[in-house]
Amino acid sequence: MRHRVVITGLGIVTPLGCGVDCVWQALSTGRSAVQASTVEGLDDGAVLGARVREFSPRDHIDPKSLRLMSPAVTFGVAAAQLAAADSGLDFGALEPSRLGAFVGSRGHSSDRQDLMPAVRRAAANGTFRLDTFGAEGLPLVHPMWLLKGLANNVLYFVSLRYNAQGMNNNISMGGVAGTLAIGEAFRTIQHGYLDVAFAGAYDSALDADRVEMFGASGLVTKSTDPATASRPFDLRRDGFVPAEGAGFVVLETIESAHRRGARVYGEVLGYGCSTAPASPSHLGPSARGFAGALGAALADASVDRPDVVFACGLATPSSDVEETAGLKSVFGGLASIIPVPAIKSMTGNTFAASGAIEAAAALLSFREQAVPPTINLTEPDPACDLDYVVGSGARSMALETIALNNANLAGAHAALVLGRPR
Amino acid sequence: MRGSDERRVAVTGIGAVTPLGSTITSLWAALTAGRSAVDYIRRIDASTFPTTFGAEVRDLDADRLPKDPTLLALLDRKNLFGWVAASDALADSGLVPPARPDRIGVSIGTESRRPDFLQQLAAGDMYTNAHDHLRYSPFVLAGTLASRHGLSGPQLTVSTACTSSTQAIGVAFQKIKWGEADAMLAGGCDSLIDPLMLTGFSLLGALSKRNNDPAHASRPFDLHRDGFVLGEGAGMLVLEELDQAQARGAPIYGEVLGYASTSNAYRITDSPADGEGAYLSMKHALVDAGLQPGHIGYINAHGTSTHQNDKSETVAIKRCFGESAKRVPISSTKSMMGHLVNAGGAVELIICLLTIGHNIITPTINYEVPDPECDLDYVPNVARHQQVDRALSNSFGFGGINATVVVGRMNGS
Repeated sequence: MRHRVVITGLGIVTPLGCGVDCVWQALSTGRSAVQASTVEGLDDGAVLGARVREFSPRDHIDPKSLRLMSPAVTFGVAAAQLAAADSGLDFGALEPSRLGAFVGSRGHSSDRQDLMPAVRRAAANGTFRLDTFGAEGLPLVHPMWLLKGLANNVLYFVSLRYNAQGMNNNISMGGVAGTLAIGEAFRTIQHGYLDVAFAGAYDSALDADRVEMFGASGLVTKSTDPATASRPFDLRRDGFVPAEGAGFVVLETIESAHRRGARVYGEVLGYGCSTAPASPSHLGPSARGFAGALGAALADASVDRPDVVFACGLATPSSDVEETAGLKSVFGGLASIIPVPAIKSMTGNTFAASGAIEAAAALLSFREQAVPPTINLTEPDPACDLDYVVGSGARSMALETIALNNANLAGAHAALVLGRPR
Repeated sequence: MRGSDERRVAVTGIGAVTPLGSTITSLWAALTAGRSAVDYIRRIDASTFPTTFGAEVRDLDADRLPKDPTLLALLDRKNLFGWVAASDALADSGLVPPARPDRIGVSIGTESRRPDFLQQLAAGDMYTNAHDHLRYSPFVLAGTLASRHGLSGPQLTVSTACTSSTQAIGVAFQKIKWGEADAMLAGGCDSLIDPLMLTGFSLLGALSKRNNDPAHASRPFDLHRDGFVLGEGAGMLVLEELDQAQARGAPIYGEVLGYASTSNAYRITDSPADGEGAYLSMKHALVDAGLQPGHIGYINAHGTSTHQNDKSETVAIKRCFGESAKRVPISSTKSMMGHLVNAGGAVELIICLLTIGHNIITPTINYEVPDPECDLDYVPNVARHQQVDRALSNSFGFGGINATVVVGRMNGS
């Protein structure tokens, strides 16, 4: 027997704001969150980026725990707490081993600033020496340094706070991590291993290490105009805008939600994954991968044609063409009549968090019966010729099912199909 | 807890690169001989660190590494271990080239490691290559294995430290059982022979400091244990739907019978004294497998050789196994090869399958002085010939995550 799985709580910490209403307000009026920003710890720290705003970690997290958290981790923990509160669940009354958590993680991270005093000591004579680091540098590193970068940090704090002792996972997969976290939580509840689960993801592409790393990748936009920098599917797109944020949902069986009279945002109908890199060297998203994941999710949901597909819309020159081709191969001639908005045009690329933030946006679209636009699409690309909901305002339409695409930079693709509450 | 529409899952290929040997044959020979691979670290100058030893992979022939420069640009040391182990497992299973590539996926437990990070920080010259964002990503091995071997089904990378590869294998098992895939390449890789890991774990006081006697440093369940030993390596398995595996005449090492993961919801590093999370992990995995504790003939313990883990795991085994706790042989192969962290669970599950295949239980070496709080049968020092039809492998990690996989002999189930 397979259980039906619904979503009853949403929490988001995004560059467009931290509450579902203010984020919907921004999405539905086509606001860009991209700004000129600076990155601590870099000589030339000026970047375009979409930073989380209207967020104070201290409003959500106690000072002792905060010492063990990088900024990205605070986004994740806060988003999970917002989702928990939003769900109205009495977590203390749940059987702990029937409550789980699934996190799309940014992965293990090393905060440079925390290591620099020790590194400088070990390089005092001009050349870095590991023996000097071992002897004199070590005492300069915070004793809990390793834990601050722990890849499953958010999973730990969420499990601890809500006494979630059941099945769990921590998925480090870049741009598909959030989608997989929701998908894996869905499967686990569907097959009867949990009654309730947190699922979500967090990331930041705006710390010193990520900014330098992606600076070398050639995948980041070179635009200097914040408002128009993120332009998925536009002819002049030249890469993504680095961003940060987190999104979490609370999933439960439909029986559990009905029993307690919970507000239901939507149902998870299907989930699918596929691997196919665009090329053996640069990996990257491909038409075959997008089509494989979306096709699998639609088959899983027994849905032929969703009302809308929330695009991955990475805004790199190749990914958007591949995604368009993937959609055409799934829907054939009907592809042109399915709206395909890319909200990364407003939020930027939040990497692991993307899938979770975009799922939250899709659930709000059910509530509003409207889909957000793709902004900055002013010069169509002949190779991207679908209906991307061009403009700066939401489009009202009847919405029963929404599919969501995502992909990472190593050829992994994942998709979800969500349904309006019934 | 197998539903009527759920499929059975066999293991049809294995591969491992470990400090005890970089082939299954050499690994098994060392394990059954009770050899230690722990020695002073040679790859980096660890002489001034609080711990100067570890378990390094030293016998991996260069001719087993990929030659393709693109792969070499993408894969660092730990991922090369993973690549070699995966190639061995795939070749062993005979699964390649797959008939239905979209039905075969990859699930890897690992995280990014940065052995040169400190030098790079000192030089202020971090990234020059357009591949670097992939090279330093946790998911590049899964992506590369999937693309190069044409495995286009579900892909997963799990990062729960010491629990990663057990969870990666557990999810792979579920994907086949629940029909999302027909086969999965699953396992993990890691290298802790890394200045940052030596720094981080030393500062937490988690490592053994027996610097005058490395070979006896990893001593799980012994009264004088003083911490774990950093290791490196990879373990990979091919999991396959049973009917398909039998139809193509694949070698079958055993059947994956059950999986569970739990969270302690307790402290970030310590496990609770009552072993609750570990107890629930074993209990749920047995329920998933439809087995009673008395059905298990061997436990490959997490057995890190830290004071806390070994005590807590012992309590958990007693709670889960009740009367049979005293009878079931338990060993920690970390006594011989140290802690492979993200790769540990995969290598240890392979050991469980070899134990079933050979009916030889590998020992816990360096077990000299019994700890009154650890009073079970840890198979001290010498391998034991004993029939084992079903085995259970535990992995417990920082952040309080626990996972257990149960495997069994195919004709014994």
